[in-house]
Amino acid sequence: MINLGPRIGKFNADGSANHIAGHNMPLTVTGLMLIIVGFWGFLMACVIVPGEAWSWYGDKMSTIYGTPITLSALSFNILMGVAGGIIGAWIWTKDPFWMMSGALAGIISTASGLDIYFPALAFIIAFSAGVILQPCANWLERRGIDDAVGAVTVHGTIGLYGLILLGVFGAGYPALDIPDAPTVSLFGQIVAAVVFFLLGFVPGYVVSFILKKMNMLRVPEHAEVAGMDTTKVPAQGYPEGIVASPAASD
Amino acid sequence: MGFPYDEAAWSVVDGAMFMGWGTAMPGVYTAIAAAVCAYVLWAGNKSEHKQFDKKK
Repeated sequence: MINLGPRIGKFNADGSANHIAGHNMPLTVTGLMLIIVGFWGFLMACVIVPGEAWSWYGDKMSTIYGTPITLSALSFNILMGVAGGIIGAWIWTKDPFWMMSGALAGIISTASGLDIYFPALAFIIAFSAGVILQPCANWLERRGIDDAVGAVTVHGTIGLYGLILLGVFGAGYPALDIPDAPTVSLFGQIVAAVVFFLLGFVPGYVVSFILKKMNMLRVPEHAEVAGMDTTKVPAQGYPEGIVASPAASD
Repeated sequence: MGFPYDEAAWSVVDGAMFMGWGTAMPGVYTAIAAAVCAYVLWAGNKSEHKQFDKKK
């Protein structure tokens, strides 16, 4: 996003940001719900089932680190994460988009400890993530980063938040099923957060920088203004036309 | 802590295995979560009525 730049009309000359709403709120919320459904499957797949060549045990489920885990724990904690995140985000923002994004943020903030969190603790952590979600987005926006769908906020900042929280609540729990294994610690989680941030940011920045220099990263401005529907596909996505609605009052 | 997580192996699992099992912490977390839900119910209802009254 640093290399891509903001959408046209996002930032004013004085640096203040304009809110560019999505064209279809029900579709946006439905899409977020689909992501949440996908997250369930994605997190369930973190369980190493017995009997595979790479399984830790022949008859029991474990994490990739060999520590015990159950699908029930994952499922219950994911549900608590959704509930806490959705409630925290709604009570803070009263906005449907942020509400569903809060559900996602709730899952992401508890994902690091789904196997060992007590469900009510997962709810509390997710609630806190829902509450800090929009302030995190505003913080990014103040830095000139146009996070159009809130992905960097939800996955990036809340992801790091969740990673570090495991160091707070889960300190002392074993991290690997080998003799004299390291245990979870706050310092360890902070180091992991830095490492993961760099692993994600550096390659992404380098590749997008190269694409930008080759003029392949962003569509031309006139095409952006005309819209991808009619220029890139091309097809009329909304043949009946979209009537501009007045901005909602606060 | 009640659950013997030192071993991190299935051989010691004979019941629930979540953080704080065997201590008062699950009850504390549940109480905090319940308090959060009760507050949200009250605050949300208050703000909804404020919105309804705006449209009177």
